Amino acid sequence: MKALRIFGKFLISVGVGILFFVVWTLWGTGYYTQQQQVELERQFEALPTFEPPEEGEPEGPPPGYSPGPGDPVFRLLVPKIDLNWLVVEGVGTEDLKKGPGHYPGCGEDFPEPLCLPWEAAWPGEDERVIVSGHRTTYGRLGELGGPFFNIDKLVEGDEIVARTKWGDFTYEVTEKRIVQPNSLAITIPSGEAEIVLTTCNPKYSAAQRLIVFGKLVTT
Amino acid sequence: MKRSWKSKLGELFLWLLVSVAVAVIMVLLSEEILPTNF
Repeated sequence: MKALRIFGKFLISVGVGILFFVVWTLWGTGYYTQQQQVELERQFEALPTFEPPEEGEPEGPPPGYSPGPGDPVFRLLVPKIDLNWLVVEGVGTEDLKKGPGHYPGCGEDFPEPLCLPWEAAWPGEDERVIVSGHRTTYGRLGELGGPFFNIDKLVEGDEIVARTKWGDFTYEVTEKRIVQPNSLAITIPSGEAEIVLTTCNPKYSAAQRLIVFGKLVTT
Repeated sequence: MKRSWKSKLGELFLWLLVSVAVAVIMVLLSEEILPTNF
């Protein structure tokens, strides 16, 4: 009888532990992210502004621009869902804890498979810019959900703004797609100036991926 | 025999430690199991 009582108390403790874990996952992870965003803000403000390209030259950062893992690269704004995050370079576990991540090209700092085997595109360029972000975890402190918690609410025509050190670029949502987690089709270059936001789907699950496409409308 | 409130509090603290340990293990495991953009 005593053993049963102890086992019962043990099960209750495990249950409370699982509850702690859920609370940490949904709300606690934001504590780290919030701190990192404040630090990224400071770093981003300290970065120099690049000269706009000359007439006829391609838009985008100057040649040789190659931020390291976790460095702030641009600000992502989606007015409709009050999304305002500094995007970091890289989509590794540690990078995405800081905020949404820009899919990088493979290299010494960005090993496979979380990178592109070709040069990554930047906002303003005539290519596909890919930004990945948490859906459920690592959001704002005290708020439920990750940076891309509400991107399912975006519809055709909604604005997505990339505020970079070489200019502001406005994209308009063109399409939403739900794909399998192992689908790599969205990473293939499209040859068009567009932005792609990717996150887990549905909310609180990682069974699928939600992809939001936007095409560049103004620079 | 009736237990003292100190003994009961000690036991509660012990089970709370078990709960925290379970939560910590799950956080560590989740880093391995969950996809990067969950």
